[in-house]
Amino acid sequence: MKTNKISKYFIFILLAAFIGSCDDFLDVEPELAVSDDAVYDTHEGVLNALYGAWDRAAGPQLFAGLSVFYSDLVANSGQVRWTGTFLSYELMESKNMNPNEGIIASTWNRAYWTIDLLNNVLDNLDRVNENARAVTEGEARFLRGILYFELIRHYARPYSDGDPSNNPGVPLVLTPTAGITDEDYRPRESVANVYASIIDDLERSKALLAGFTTAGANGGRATANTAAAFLARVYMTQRNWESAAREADFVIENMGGYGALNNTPRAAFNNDTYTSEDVFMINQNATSHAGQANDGLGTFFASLDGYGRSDVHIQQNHLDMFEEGDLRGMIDTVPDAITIADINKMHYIGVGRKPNNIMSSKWGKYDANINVIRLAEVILIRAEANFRNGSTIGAAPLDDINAIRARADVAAWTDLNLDMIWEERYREMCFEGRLIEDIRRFEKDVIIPAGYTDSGTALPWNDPRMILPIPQREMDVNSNLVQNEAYL
Amino acid sequence: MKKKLSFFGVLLFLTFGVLAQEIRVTGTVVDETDGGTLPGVTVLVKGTTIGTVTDFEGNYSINVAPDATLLFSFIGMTTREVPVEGRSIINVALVPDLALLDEVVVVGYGTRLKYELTGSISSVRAEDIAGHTMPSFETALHGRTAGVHISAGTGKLGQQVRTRIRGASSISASNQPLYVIDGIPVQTQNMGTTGNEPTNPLADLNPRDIESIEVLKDASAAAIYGSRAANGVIIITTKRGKEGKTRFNVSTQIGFSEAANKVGFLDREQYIDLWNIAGINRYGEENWDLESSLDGSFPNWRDINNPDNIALGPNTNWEDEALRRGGSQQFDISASGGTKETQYFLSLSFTDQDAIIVGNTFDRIGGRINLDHQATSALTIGMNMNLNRSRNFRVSHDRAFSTPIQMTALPPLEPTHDPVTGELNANTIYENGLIPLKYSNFDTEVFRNFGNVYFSLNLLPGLTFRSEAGLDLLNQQEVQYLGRNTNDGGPDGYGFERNVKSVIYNLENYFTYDAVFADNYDLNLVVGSSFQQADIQFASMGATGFPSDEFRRVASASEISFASASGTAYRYTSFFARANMKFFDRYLVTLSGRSDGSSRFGRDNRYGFFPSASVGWVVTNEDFMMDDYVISFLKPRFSWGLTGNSEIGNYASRGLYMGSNYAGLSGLISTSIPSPDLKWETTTQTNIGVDFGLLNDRITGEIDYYVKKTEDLLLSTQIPSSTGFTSVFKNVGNMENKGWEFTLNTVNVDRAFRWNSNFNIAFNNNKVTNLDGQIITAGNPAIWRVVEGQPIGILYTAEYAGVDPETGNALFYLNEEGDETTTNLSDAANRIVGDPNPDFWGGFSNNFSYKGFDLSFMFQFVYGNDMYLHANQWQAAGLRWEDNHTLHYYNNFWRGPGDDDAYYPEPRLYQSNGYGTSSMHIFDASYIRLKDLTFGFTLPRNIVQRANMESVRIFVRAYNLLTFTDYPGYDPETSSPNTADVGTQSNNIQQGWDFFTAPQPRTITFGLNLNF
Repeated sequence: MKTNKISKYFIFILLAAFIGSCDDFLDVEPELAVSDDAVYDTHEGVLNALYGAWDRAAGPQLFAGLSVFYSDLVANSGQVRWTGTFLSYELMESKNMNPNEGIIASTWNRAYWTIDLLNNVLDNLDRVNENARAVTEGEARFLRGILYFELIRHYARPYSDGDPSNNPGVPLVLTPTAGITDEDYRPRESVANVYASIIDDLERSKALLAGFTTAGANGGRATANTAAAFLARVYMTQRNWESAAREADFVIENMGGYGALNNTPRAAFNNDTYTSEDVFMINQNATSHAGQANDGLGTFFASLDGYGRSDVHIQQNHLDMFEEGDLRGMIDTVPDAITIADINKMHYIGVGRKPNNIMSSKWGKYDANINVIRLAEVILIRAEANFRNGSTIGAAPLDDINAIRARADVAAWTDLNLDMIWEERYREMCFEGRLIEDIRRFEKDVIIPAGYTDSGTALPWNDPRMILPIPQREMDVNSNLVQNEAYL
Repeated sequence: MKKKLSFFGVLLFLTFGVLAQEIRVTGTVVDETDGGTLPGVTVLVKGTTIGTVTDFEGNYSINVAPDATLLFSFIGMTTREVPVEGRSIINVALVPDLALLDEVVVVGYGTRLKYELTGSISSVRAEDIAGHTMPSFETALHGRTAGVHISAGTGKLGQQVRTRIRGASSISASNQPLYVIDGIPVQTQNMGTTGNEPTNPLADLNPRDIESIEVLKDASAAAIYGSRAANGVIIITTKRGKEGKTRFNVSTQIGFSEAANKVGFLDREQYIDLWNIAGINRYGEENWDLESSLDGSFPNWRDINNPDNIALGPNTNWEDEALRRGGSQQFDISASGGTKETQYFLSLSFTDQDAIIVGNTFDRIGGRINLDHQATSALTIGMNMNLNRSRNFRVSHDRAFSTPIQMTALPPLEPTHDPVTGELNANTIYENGLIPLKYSNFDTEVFRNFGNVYFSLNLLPGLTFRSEAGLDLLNQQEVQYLGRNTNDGGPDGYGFERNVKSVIYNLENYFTYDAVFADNYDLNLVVGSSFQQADIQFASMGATGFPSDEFRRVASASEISFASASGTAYRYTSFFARANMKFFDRYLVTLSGRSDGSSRFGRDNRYGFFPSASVGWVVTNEDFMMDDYVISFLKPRFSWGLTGNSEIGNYASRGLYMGSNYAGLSGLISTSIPSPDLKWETTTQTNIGVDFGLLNDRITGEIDYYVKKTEDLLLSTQIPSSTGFTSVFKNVGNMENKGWEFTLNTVNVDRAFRWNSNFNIAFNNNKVTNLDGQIITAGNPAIWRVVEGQPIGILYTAEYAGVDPETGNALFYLNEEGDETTTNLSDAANRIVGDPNPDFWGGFSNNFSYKGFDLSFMFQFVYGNDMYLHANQWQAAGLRWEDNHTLHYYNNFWRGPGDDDAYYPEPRLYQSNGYGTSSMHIFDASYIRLKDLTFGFTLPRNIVQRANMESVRIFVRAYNLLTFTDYPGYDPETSSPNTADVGTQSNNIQQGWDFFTAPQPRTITFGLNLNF
């Protein structure tokens, strides 16, 4: 081979051998995701994280699960029967929860994931344009407050049980996570301290969002009403009747009194937007919802043509709670119920795959908004709080109760006692996730439903078996945590 | 050994060669086994470089000294020495090489002779996989290569296969080997949607295009692939043309398959019997009314014409509805040949398979061109080009109610069709899988192009530069429709479309230098560089609101429910070098090193260096062993080296945010916390081995002992989720694998009747030696764990203590010590109750031939691995629910006081008696399987030659004909990969999971193979 020919080849070789050998070749930026902390450098970035937190809070693990579905299963004395095959929910119904179950951890993880986003938002408020700063802070504090409330009421002993300043609550994280240090291995803060943080967040939120007082204001996110309504719930669990009645009264006045109630009980449910009665909803639509096959309230509650797993079957002792003519106790029989819109009553005979069972109409549309707090509940809170407090803040308890009864088409009462309030709350609020709090406040026993080894056993209102375990994964990772009594 | 003989030949030649006068010798070389002529045989005058090659017809002609000796050599044949002794016609018959010690073995960036290897490499030849009927070839490696453990995902077609070479070396990064096809690392990751089991990009390679597969197991062999070699490397070489006339090969097969095993479920009579027993147990005889109980649970359980006769009525065998007789057909044609300058291999193939699972079909059509051309005396250029289209008509994943195997959960009392309307029965306890089968579809179509172009330049004597530019292009479209009246698609239909484009560019450049110094010092040097860039783009959308099940594409939908598009990428840049040295034909030394940079790590930790060293000693080439008639070959060898692993997420070192959607309000959510110090995971492997041949290589074998220690594990470390994150990737922890591998090949009879055997067995002991106190779990329920001092993925849950023989209650151990029991599962202590890793595995194969007949069989076996039979939780639950139960349950449940043989507790209708997650459902999945049985007949030459054929072979081949196991589920060889790529942490840990997992097929194939 001639020399010049070889040298020509060598140039070719050198070209081939060193393509891409510079270091920049290895700089590959992600397309799907934004990298690093630059997220919080701008006004838009902080708001994006806030809206991200709303998305996380709306998931099936939180306001379309934990706060509604788990609460009612844990408190279920056999009014409904869980017939699905998801073991986690059966364990809740049988009060035999297992710290290894996936949803025990996924709920906990999702709540803290959301809280970290909110902590970042609150830490970077100075990046937010001044005119949006108060609302941003108000929304973030509201979400953080209600998330801690969901955590504490499920994973810790009730505030009213024993000494809340000694009982372990949940880890209280109020600052953003940077690197992982020893400080991140937090113990459980006392129930009292977590409550103090919740009340602080919600009160400040109420003040910061004072400009929003109508149903669905501020884009259907947080308003002064939503903060006050949650405060009312929180005070009720603390048995601080006076404050609960005041907060409830604040909401009822802002919403326009009894007139804001929908005309029928059925009208409050399966709506795509706020109705006049809704104090706080989780917004959903076709592209953003809690699920329609394995998750989401309708998935478990509905038994419609092609939709719903028909997992939660209504039992006779639930129906027995209703008086003759109570709109809330009626059963629709629509042989070809294609969607929930075909059903006008609060219960129906299910169709579809597991037909002929009695189902609740409250959750029948996977992409409808989720009712978190309705005016009816707030009225019932005011009634109960006033009754227990011996006060008439805003209205007399009997008037409040009768307003709810009138909407359900049942006769007004002329006198009132605590058991009557308990029953009225059950009739109005069933399957909306309030039962566990009511049991704790009215100190009712819970009976293990049929089908389990200890069926018929009565558990007192504060039985540790009705508190969720700290997730096993969390126990394994963080040795500073203590497990709840029933799971030691 | 002929090598040493040739050394003497040199001396011989030096002494006498120069004095001789030349004569002309001609002749024909044939294959002794079938009498066929052999083109391309090298004919060399011993001790010289003078030689020739046989022509198309196997003829040669050469001028030699009358006292010279001719050497006839051909790949795969024993080299034969024939003294000329003055003859002018010498016809020679070559016999296949028994021991294949002179076999050429493909190593990274080059080839070596087998006897020169100092590393541990297993090879599989084309004929072992030629008749393979599965879409991808990997399952053919199990039982044929010591140390390679394969578990098929499920019996569904075209799914990813879990492959472990010498155990798992990582927890969070992939444990799958690197696959290199014709020099190019290829895409093997799941390209399918996350809503189904992972698809296998290797199914795009036609197994019949494969010439050889080499498995690089130890560090010395694999370290040339550096950072990507910690899990071993599988090198696939496709067929190439040889100089000679055009040879056509036509091969066609037709096969029939059925499930390798059926579990067996209760029929009507048995189910009603169980229902009655469970009802009486629960409610007491006096309160029990069988018929009204059944009326309450099953609206259609009575015969509509004879409602009072409970013996009549539906008796559906749902298992038979889910499993069917499958089939396959396959047609391949190839042409290969060439001139001295240009050689080619062309192939066209078509395969069409119906799985044993209803609704699952796979077909593939493709072609290949492999071309080599010598442009000048110095320059060779060539290309490989492979274009395939494969289509996989899939069913839903194992966890979905709609997947066919889940139909086995339906009781026999429920009819498939509504007795009144004749429509499919929609009123079953779970979704009737026949409904989605009829009204849904999920079609995956892949276009795949593996290709590369190379040039090779002879710069100086012995010095070659080779440059290969490769492209691996994968284009995939998934189209899914879920019918209006299906569970998942209701109420108005759901459509899903997804497109994926994966492009991998690869550039390899290297110099090879071969030289012999002073006759006795052989040097082979490789120095080069490699760059790889992978870009993967996805786009998908889902839609609802279809007017009818006839309109299944998104265009007909009224509402787009989501749309998404994204991409991901990674790059590698590498430099490598290797020196193979051989002294006096018996002392072998190999040194190699590779420096790799990866885009996946932070700027300061991108580069890693992976060296290796190995030595070997061919003892039998020493003078003192020359005359040993027992030991014909002996080579101890030792290797040490580092390999790396970077198979984690493309951006694992970054703190990432991704988009979110709160009812139309877009935002950002955090998905990971930064880990800027993240670097390579490193595996140090030491291997001591010996290759031996006894009795003139009638018995050959290999013994290897290895220790693989992985440090700086790329670990998804668990952190308190109160931080907002559950894990962060860190380099934490150590893991080790230690093991033995034995391979024994024997030529038992070597006459007209030939009988060869191969036995291989591998023992691997995996242990996580340090995890910094971390406990990592997988699965739901999370019973698979990684804990210090234990093998990866041990099973950790409540331990079942059996049935109380007096009460029929399920008992569980209350405490860790196991000395107290409880009937309440939630009180039971969690303990280590199983290990999904096998203790040993291997294969035993035999080949017989006599005249034109050949018979071969191969058993594969796995011992000591536990499987969690998750479906048993419902199908052996004592009618906790209405699910149909297995015969295994029916024959083993507690029948009454004193029944102390029962495995399962007393059935109690709608009541839990030990229902839940426990070791009750963990079973030993050891098995021995007659994987492959082939019987063939090659027509006599004189007959086929009349039809101008070279050879005609007909055969019948059976896969999975027999399985011996105590495992009560479908198939001990499968393990559901869930819906994640098999290289992900969840699949590393969650091994041995059977959740309505479809069995492998048992296949009988009839085939015809023509050469002309």
